[in-house]
Amino acid sequence: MKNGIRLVLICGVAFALGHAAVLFATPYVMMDRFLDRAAARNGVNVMAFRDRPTAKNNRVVRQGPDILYSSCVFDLSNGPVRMHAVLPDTYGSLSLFADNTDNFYTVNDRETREGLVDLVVYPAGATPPEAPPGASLVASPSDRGNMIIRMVVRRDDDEQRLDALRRQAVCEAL
Amino acid sequence: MAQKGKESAPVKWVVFLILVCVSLALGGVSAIGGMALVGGNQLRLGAWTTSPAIGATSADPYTRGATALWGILALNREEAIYLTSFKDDAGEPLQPNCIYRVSGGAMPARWWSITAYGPNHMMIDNAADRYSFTQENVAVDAAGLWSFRLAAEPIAEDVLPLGSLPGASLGMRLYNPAPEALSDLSTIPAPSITKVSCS
Repeated sequence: MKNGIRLVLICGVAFALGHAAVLFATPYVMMDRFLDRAAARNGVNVMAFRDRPTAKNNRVVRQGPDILYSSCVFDLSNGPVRMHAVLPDTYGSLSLFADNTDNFYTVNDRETREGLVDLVVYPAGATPPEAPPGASLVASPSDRGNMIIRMVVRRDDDEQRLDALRRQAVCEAL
Repeated sequence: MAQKGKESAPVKWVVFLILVCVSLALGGVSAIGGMALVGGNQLRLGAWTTSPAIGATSADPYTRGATALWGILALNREEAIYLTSFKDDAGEPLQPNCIYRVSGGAMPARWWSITAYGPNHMMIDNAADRYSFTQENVAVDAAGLWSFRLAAEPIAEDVLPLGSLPGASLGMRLYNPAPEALSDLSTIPAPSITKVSCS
């Protein structure tokens, strides 16, 4: 009887451990996979400009077909990374995601002067670097993460203009 | 008898280890189930669900896990509110053999869109290459109400294809939500999804 109770308790603890492990590991595992694949395809600390998502080229779940996505896998382990972009007034945003998928920073076109964004991203806890004139400092909770620029395509005939605009974006080691 | 006792000890250990492994695995599966049930679904708005914690640094682990699995790289709600629906207004799952009408009025956001996704959460391939309706291309009547239809195939200009597989869903994006929507998600006038007919 005692052994039976002990077994139930041990299995209960194992159940709780399995639950907690999957619960807390899932965001890191999924983001790690995403970053590894994106880095293998495009490199690190460099912009990647993807075609507008369709059913034929879609690689990421629940993307918006009316949005031009551009991204940069960033790695701060060798120092800060500078990100520069021009956002359109159709709605444009630049957002930063930590290695657990948290969206820790976003700026959109209405929060900028003429859509200009200039950031220096550095690891939280490190000494803030000296930002170039006009650039803002952003502390990242993780060394690795992802930057995404979203541009809403309100009319199909505007896509070419937006594509040219997004290609001005830069993501590079400082 | 002595021999039997010697053999039963390793057997007991094997059974014990199997039970522990099964418990661990069940715990893991229950975590995924918890993410599906709780994460991203904390608030029901008609046929739609959402969560104030999607993308947030303060997200609970179930919402964070659900976002990682079924909505990775989602913006936090200050920037965008995401509504999801797998069902119609009657609470019935969206069926590929039925036609639905999706309708609504002015949305409290700078820009909105509604996209159809297959059971794998990817866009649905269709002959018209039509994946969404937005505030720019949806039909609006004289009273300012917009509407479009859902059907398996793009049978008309106002139809958003749901594909032929069960388990399809709709995702609504509200970019730059209005302050009242931000402070109280329950004030969002969620679009209605009504069944028109089934074959």
